[in-house]
Amino acid sequence: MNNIDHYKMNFGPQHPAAHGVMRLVLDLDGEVIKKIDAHAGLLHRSIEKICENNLYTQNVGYMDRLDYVSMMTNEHSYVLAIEKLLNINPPIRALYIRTMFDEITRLLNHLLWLGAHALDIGAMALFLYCFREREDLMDCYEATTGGRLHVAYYRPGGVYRDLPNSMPKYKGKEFGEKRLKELNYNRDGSLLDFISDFVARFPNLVDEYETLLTDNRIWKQRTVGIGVVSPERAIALGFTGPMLRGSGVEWDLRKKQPYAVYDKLEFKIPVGSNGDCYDRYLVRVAEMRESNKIIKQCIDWLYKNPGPVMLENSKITPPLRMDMKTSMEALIHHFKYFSEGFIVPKGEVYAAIEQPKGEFGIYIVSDGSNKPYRVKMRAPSYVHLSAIDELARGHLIADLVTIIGTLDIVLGDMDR
Amino acid sequence: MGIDGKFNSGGFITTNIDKVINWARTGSLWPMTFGLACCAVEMMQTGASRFDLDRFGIIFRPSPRQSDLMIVAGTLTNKMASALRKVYDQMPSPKWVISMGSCSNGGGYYYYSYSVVRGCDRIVPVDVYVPGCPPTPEALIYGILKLQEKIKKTNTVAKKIRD
Amino acid sequence: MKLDEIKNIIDDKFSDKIKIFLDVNEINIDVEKSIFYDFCKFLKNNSNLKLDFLSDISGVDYLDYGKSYWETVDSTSKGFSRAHKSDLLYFLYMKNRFCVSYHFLSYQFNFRLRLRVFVDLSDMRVDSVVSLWPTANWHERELYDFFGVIFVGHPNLIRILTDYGFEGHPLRKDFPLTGEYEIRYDENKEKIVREASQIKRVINTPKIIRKDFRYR
Repeated sequence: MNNIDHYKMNFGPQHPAAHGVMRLVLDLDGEVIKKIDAHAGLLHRSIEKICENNLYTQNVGYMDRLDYVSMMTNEHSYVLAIEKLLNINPPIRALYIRTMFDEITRLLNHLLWLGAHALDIGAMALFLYCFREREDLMDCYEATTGGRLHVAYYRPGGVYRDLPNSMPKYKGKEFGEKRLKELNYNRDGSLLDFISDFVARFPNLVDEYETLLTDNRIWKQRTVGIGVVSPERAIALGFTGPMLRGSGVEWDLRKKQPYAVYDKLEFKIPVGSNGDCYDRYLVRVAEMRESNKIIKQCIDWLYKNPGPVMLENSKITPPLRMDMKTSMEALIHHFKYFSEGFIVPKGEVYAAIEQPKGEFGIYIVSDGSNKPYRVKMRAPSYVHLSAIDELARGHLIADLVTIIGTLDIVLGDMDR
Repeated sequence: MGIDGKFNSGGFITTNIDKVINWARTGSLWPMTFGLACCAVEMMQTGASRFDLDRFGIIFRPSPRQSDLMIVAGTLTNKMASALRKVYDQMPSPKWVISMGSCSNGGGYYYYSYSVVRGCDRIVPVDVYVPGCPPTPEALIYGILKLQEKIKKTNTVAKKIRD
Repeated sequence: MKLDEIKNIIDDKFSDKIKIFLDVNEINIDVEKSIFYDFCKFLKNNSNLKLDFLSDISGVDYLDYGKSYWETVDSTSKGFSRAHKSDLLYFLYMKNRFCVSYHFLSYQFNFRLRLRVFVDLSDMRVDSVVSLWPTANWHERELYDFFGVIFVGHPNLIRILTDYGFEGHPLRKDFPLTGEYEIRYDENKEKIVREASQIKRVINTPKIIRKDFRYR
């Protein structure tokens, strides 16, 4: 028989289903994929090298932009690494705020994942529903920090500001009285009232999404049996997060190596059984419900316990603005903090958290100066995409779209 | 005077045909999805439920051959630049480019990096720059409205007669 | 898992060639290049350690370690002393310039471990661990791309994150942040051209090293 070469096709950088700029060179035999060569680096912005030239607090803004759909969790990992090197502990209210915002970020991530995944496979209505919930959560972000997407909120020593007492409201004569009352019904109180209203509504919304997809014949035909990974192979390939839990390995950093206040809260870890795309979908939807429970517990605690949100160590955290204007020492500390920065002692540390996509780790090497010597980010999307060759062999191109969706990759995280 | 004045600036019938053409073009700008980085998420939010872009006639098309607007949203790197130029060349004219976010306006947060193109206007000609990191959906809608104003000033059929 | 338990588990044949110590509550092992692959095999197969998950491989370039920009010692007519001299003692300790660090995690016993191998410009080769942990594939490619470390036995050691046709190893300390070239589109030639980089990096905050005895 003649040797017919496989047809090489570009699943190019610009593609509506490619979740960003990523180039896959496919070797096809008809429509069946024989080999994939993944080209990364189309969004390589060399954040690691830039971070070596900035002070420790100036780098928090770069951490946001790594995985740009789950912003605050990246900052959390970086700040945790610095706190380990400095051997300090933020106040307890700051830890509860961090936990609450981490779970809000998890909801943001999973909602975007669900909307984009369903859109790629063909269920277009879910995209609009998921983004409607994301708008409410981004309003929480904006009320606290001023920014909808990139915030720079976590600092070494706590969080920058306490939660606000009022939410911005809809205004305008063209709405009419009745409509304005409908729109502002949950914005009369503080931020915690707004979030508790969201938390009360959210389980019904997840039920809505599940009625659209979970028992749907077409969804099942598109996702069951696609991209199957056995537990041993998942560990060998370096999977973490829902990719690992979908295959049956019960490992979650929030339970096994807890950070912030996760050891004080009650929640469960959903684990799948078959390791295919359908199980990973179920795991992520169940995680959304668990995040909801965690947020509710955090809100209950935050209502009852006011307190400081930033450590009171003037060499590591900036002084309050009012003190800076009246006290001499606070002025000097403010000047030195923002011009020279704080010094972190010599050492190396690796801090990892359970980001919505997997395990996000930051490795900092410090030589005793005010700038980090080396910052390395261990990105879950990078490791997940490296396995796409093994996951997608023998499948059709349409299944490749499903697999890319279930890997949950974000190119900012992957290429750094 | 009435009709005499119109002859110097292009003619009565041709300027009104131009107005109809511009009304058609601004009323249905079809952008191509060229989301590169974080600004793409804000672009998706603009097209979603709260800040609806469909009410402006904007439908996102996946193919460059069927679109007339390209919104470059996100950081443009050296590796991606040739793909950007190729996609721009594949769009049929008339075509416009909106540069969204500070990374594509002029390098932005990553200006000093070795692998980032310092502004997408080094590769494609840009009509409207929308600042922000990322620009809020209101800012992007304002940018699109400014582009509509710019399109309304162009002449297709009528040519200005200079004395 | 405590440090003493691990010290007991590691065989005698390795214990004179490795250095195992605790730093910031983390277990670090420094390994010599000659026994590196055997030691990794031992770590993976030992049933008391069960280190079956490799979470990260990273590289560090120790060229500028301990050097700061401000060198004044006391007050002169030009200015006051603000920082100590660079810590040359630690710098001389690092005979080798590059370090490859491996981060392991054991699911069964729930502990983390860091392994470090040192290489120098004269001999940048390290044995690849792709046969033991398949996830090392892309991590080692990235290290080759950024530092130039060559992994012997890797199936496909080519550039991954930098541009097609990029020359140089960006994360080394002697490679400038702004790079060597920048690109733009040339209308006459109708293609993308590379030109020498013309921007200068402006340093607003100098690097300062201080000995602060309050921490550790």
